[in-house]
Amino acid sequence: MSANPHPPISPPASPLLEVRDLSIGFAAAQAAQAGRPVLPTIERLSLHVQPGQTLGLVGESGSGKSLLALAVMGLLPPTARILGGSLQVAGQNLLNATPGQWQQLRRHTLAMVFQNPRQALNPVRPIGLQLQDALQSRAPLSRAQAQAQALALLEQVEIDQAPARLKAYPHELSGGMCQRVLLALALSREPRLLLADEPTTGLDITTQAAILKLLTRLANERHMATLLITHNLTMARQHCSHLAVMHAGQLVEAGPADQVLQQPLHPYTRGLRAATPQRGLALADLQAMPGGLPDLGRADLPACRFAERCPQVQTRCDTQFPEWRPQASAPSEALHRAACWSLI
Amino acid sequence: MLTVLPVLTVLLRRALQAVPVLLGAALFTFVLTRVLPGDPAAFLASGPGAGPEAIEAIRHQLGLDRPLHEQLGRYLLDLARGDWGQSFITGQPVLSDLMLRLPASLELTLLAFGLTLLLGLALGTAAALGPGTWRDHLCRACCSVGSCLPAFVGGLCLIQLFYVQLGWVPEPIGRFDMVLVPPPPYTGFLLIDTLLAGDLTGWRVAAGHLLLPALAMALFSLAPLARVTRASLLTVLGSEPLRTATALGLPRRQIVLHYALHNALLPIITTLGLVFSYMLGANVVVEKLFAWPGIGSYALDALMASDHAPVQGFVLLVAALFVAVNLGIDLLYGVVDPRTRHLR
Amino acid sequence: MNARTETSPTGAGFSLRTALPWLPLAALLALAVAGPALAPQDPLHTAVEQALRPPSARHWFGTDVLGRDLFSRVLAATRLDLLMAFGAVSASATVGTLLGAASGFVGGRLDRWMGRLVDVLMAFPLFVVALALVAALGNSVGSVVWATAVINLPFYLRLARAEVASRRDAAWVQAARLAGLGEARVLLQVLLPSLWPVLAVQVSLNLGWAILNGAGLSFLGLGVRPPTPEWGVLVSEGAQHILSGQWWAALFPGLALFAAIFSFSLAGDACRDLLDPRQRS
Repeated sequence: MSANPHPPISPPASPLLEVRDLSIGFAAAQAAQAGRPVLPTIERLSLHVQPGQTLGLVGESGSGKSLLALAVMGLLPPTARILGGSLQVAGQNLLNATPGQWQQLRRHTLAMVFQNPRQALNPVRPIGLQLQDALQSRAPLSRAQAQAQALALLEQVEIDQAPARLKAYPHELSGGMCQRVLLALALSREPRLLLADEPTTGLDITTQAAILKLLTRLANERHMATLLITHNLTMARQHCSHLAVMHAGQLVEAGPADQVLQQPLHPYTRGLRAATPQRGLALADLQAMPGGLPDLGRADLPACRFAERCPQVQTRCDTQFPEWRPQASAPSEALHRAACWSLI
Repeated sequence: MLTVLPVLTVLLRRALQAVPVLLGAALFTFVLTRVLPGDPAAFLASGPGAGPEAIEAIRHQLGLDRPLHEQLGRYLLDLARGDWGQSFITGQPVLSDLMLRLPASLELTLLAFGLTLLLGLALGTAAALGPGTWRDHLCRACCSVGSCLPAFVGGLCLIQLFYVQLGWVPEPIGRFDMVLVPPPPYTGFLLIDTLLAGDLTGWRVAAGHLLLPALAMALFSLAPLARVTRASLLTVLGSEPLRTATALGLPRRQIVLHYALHNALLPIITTLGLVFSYMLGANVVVEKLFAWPGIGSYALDALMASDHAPVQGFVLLVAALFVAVNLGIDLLYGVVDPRTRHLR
Repeated sequence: MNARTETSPTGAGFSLRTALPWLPLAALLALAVAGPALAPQDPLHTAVEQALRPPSARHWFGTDVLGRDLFSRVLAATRLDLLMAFGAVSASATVGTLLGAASGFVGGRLDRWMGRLVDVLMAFPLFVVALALVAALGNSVGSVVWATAVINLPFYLRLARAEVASRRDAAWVQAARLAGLGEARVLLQVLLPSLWPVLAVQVSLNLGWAILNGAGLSFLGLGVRPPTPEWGVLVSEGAQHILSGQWWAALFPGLALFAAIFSFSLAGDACRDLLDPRQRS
């Protein structure tokens, strides 16, 4: 398979994935009937991913990370609504893309790997055929060509005994191997952006490390941008050049990974770091964060959703949506920024 | 085909599991006539005025004066040898009576089964592809009404509409027109025999006679199938493999065929056994209503005349059919779902 | 229009919408209780000169082959059909629940065999079994009721067995044991009462099916003999005349039968939504 050609040289201000003020909510019939506005699950989120960059999207379970990825792929559940903002990939507006445009994007530009890889694969179809389906959707290929390319893909993702595996069904493979197959499927798109939603959930430690190493290698080789979604701060630090931290559907901090983790600006990020095991720290040194994610169905949700757990909360945190500090008209990931009133 | 062997072993195991069912049915019929109150000898002897000597003679002839376990042994042996007793009404061996009438019932039941599949799958699929639309409501209405409408009432409504009012079908008595000459009985299936004899008019007549009773049976039995089709397809449409296929931008036709329908079929196939069992139950009343010369009406006539051997034979034959159909369904399931080929 | 209260745990406040599914059943039960008293004419009174008259102001459902008022007959049949169904279902519910609960409680190999037996039974065309039973027990109302009861047994066996087996080692059951109750009393006084909701749902769903089977057997000529009015028998009597255009003789009783089964089905679904929402399809 040909190596991914270099993307056209673009100025740094033109990102591959551009999310601006995006708000996504779920249609709540009861809320609409009662005259309440639909509360956004994701609220005014802005971030960028540059070509070839690895961005880690970090946050607790339920913070809306997966929802964002699904929105980028156009796979939002039917009950979800885009409430505002814009979403662009390679300059193309995704929010009003036609089904035909989505198919083109999914065949040539975007790809995603999911959690629970075995459940994400078709249980009644051999994986060789699933790979061939994917390959043949991009270009007309003979069966021999498709098989050869499928084999090559399996070898790319470091699956041993690849010819035998082609005839295997997902239930015959281990979780790690299923995830590699999902990766192979994603790679068949030769994507410019790969979304990896907690790709190591359910795998044992050694397999996790291997998968992530594979991911990193492939991303580097193909100059493929990656959005790595995880709740594991350590994993994000090890594999991502930049980080974005989410809390309850709001983006609270973003920037180069080492800056975000070594000098966190936002109280939430500091709390996450304090709760994350690090070399040299004893278990007793870890500090849990009080409380949990707020219930998004509440009518009295504070403007900054971390307000009720925040050690530095102010009165205006309840009523005013926190602004970014430092401000920038066109934020880029090189800029370490956080959305918190305590920074002003 | 190396996959044949495991399928065969599964089939063999299922066949062995069927033996207890058949034995159970035989035991059941044995118990019914021998152990429960009531004197079969007196029953059987009470045609021509019977004195005690006549009854005693019959009792000895039937072996009713032997100990129970001996009777059971003889009974099972007779069954295995093909001696299922003799019918008083016809004077023929029960087994040959049943075999003579079996094609009529089978033709009817198979056609009804085909109609059920067609209608049930269509309704369920339409409902699943358009949840909340009129198609969904139609499906649910048909299921509710269908399962509450006894087959004989449904049959009467169909007769009233299609014969009495509209005149679209021939007189709904029996399998064929009394005036016409029936085709030579190669298979006993009129639809096939008329074709083999090149008798197109005969074929139309036979089909016309088959339509209403088959439809009556189908309407009663389609509810479980439609419900399962709808539920299964809905589940599959929201499942992860389908999301993966969409994320890869696979062509829609391929997604529907290989990723949606193939997976949705599995619960549907397991329901087919239940559907067939509904049919066998509806068979008797429909045969009575339409004066259909099948095994159901044979057993009923025998029952009314207190001729017990045909009733026993009927129960055993139904048990055998039930077992055969379930074996077939298991085999079909093994073909469609690769995961079962390797279990146990 | 939607008057479901937000605070009720089952989400079903009392309103027209939630009461609706129960209305047909209530009407049916009222008719059964009031019985022949409501019939405008004597269901058994024959008047051959009035045979097979179409529906009119005098005979709302027309007359049958012996000149009897069909409306009165259909009405009078309500009580018998419902009684037969109730009798059969209460017998099978009682016996089936006790046996199934005992089996699920004891567990082990016996229970597994019981489970397999029930599975096979449930899939088998039970109407055929009912037929054979009536053949053996003799052609009477009693045997039809017994036969219907027997073929309903597997439902309760399976239900009780599964429920008891899943709750057998629950914390509150263990607590009863620790409080000193013997095993039998644990089963009878602690476990069985907890089955009421699921049992009620099953009974309500079963009653319609019992009526359907009972009427089917009567249609075949088993059990109820003419001139006793019973829906299956009425349909059978009327079926002979449908080809000659006298549709009312068969279709009105058939409609009544359908209406009864449908009422139970509606009520059964509503019962299930109320008591055991996780069974909703």
